[in-house]
Amino acid sequence: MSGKDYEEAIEALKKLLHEKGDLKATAAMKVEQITAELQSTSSDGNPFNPVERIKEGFIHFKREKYEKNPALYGELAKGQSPKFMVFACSDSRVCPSHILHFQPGEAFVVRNVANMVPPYDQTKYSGVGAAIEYAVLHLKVEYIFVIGHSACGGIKGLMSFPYDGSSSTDFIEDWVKIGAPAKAKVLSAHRDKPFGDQCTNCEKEAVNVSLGNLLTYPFVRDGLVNKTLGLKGGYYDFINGSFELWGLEFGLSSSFSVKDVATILHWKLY
Amino acid sequence: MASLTPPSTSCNNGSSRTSTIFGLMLKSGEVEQTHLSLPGSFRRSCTFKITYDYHTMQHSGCIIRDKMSPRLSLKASKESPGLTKEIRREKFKTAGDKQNEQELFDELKNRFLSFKRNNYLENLEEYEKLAKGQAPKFMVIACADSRVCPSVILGFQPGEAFMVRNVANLVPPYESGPSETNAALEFAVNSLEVENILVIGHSCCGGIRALMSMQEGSDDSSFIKSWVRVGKNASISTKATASNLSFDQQCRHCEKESVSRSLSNLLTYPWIEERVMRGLLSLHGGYYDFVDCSFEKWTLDYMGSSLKEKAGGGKHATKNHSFWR
Repeated sequence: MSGKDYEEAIEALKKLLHEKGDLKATAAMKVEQITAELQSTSSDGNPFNPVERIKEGFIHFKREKYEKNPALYGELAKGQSPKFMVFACSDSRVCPSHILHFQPGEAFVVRNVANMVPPYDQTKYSGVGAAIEYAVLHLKVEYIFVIGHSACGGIKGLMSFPYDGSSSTDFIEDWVKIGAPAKAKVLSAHRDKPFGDQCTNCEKEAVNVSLGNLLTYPFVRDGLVNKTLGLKGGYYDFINGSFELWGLEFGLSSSFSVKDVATILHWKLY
Repeated sequence: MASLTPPSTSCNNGSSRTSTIFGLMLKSGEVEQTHLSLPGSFRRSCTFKITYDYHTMQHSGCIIRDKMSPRLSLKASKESPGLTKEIRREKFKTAGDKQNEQELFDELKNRFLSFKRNNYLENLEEYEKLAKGQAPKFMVIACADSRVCPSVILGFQPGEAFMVRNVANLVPPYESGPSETNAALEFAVNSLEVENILVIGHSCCGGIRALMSMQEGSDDSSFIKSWVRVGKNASISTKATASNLSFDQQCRHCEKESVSRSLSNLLTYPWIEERVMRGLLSLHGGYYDFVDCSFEKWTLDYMGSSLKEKAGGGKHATKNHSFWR
């Protein structure tokens, strides 16, 4: 509603009130209500300006964070030494900086559809490999943390795509196929469950598939063997507001006695 | 691809079973099982088992869920709901290491609980809406560098920006074939129908530095080099135009150049070009300098680009340059 219409409407209303005195009280309330509605609309009624949005965000960051922590940001400008490498989904609702409050310098974060880690393949998946190589060999992170989440579109796609030779996307089907072992496991173990439950199970199993795929990178194996690196899986459920974390430990065994090492670090937060 | 067969576990010590996972044979000797006490309906017991044979240098892994192994017994808990504690564990790590790990993850736990209390529960209605679906207006492509999370530096809130983070915030062209970045592009543009794509470069980028340090024709088995090659055109053009500058300055030049190249690479995707042409999608470049805390931003000017530029290969014209300091 443009300003002109509003003014015209108010004028018409005033005229009406003048002519019909007993309407005044009701009308007064109505006018107040319309004014209030208009005030809120006019602030939202402007079309979304993406540049203004990010400018506001940056200025706020500079004022409230950067300028208030000169020591931290001064150090960070010289270099980074994050303890974590995080794989999280690209989903707009699951940024690790929000849910785990990672501050600048704490986590080297890779975000892709369905937080997948593909197996070692220098031709096809050099992007992910480059990130892991950089994090493990150059930044020397201590943990690789793969975080899945509820209502994941990528996992839903994985569970829905038929993979029967036909394809409806250029790249998505090919990418989420990395989680195929999780899909197979879920379909065999939870065949009769509703689709939604199957997706939830797949979201968690896919994290395990990614953790397993991490083992196909020699520098990850070396880190695990030398105990300089740990692997963790996580699951953020934004429908129920909970977070699950689990861990993987890796042990050496001599050829004479095969010792299994199983360690769980598992907490669920409500 | 190897398929998972339901692994079997046994409580008997010394039993020997094999199961196949990811095509690897797993031999289980003693099976150490950790039982967790879980309150109420959240009973779950998970065992992760990895064995590495030092002599054959073979690893094998198996992740077992309780639903697959009904024989695993579950203990009911008398503890109050809340934090689930580890009951028993075998480890090779020293006590000191374990202590640090425990502290580290306790810190993360506290952070999540704080997020839940101060953010999630305070804005429950908003989160309930988001739980039903996301409709971000932005897709952001940023570097994985720990110092440049766009949620932090540009204040994106949950639901606002679909984000891809990779080494050196590179966007490979359409013809390079499937990759993690273009799967995300396809999802953001075709499914979520974002209105803006923002590619953000930054100062002191290790990936760009690696790109600039690469020798022509070098045969290197490093992943990093295989990936940053995507930005090759940016480094070639930087070396051609900025050869008089110091290496550090050249890297800085390349960091911005590579953002421009990535924007042009975005237009090699037919479904992106179509939406840009129809005015439904805008492509923006950004550069975050964390040394002096400034942000530069520009928009790709598709309409204003010459036919030659549109034909592809080079950079496009830009408009709406801003510099915020």
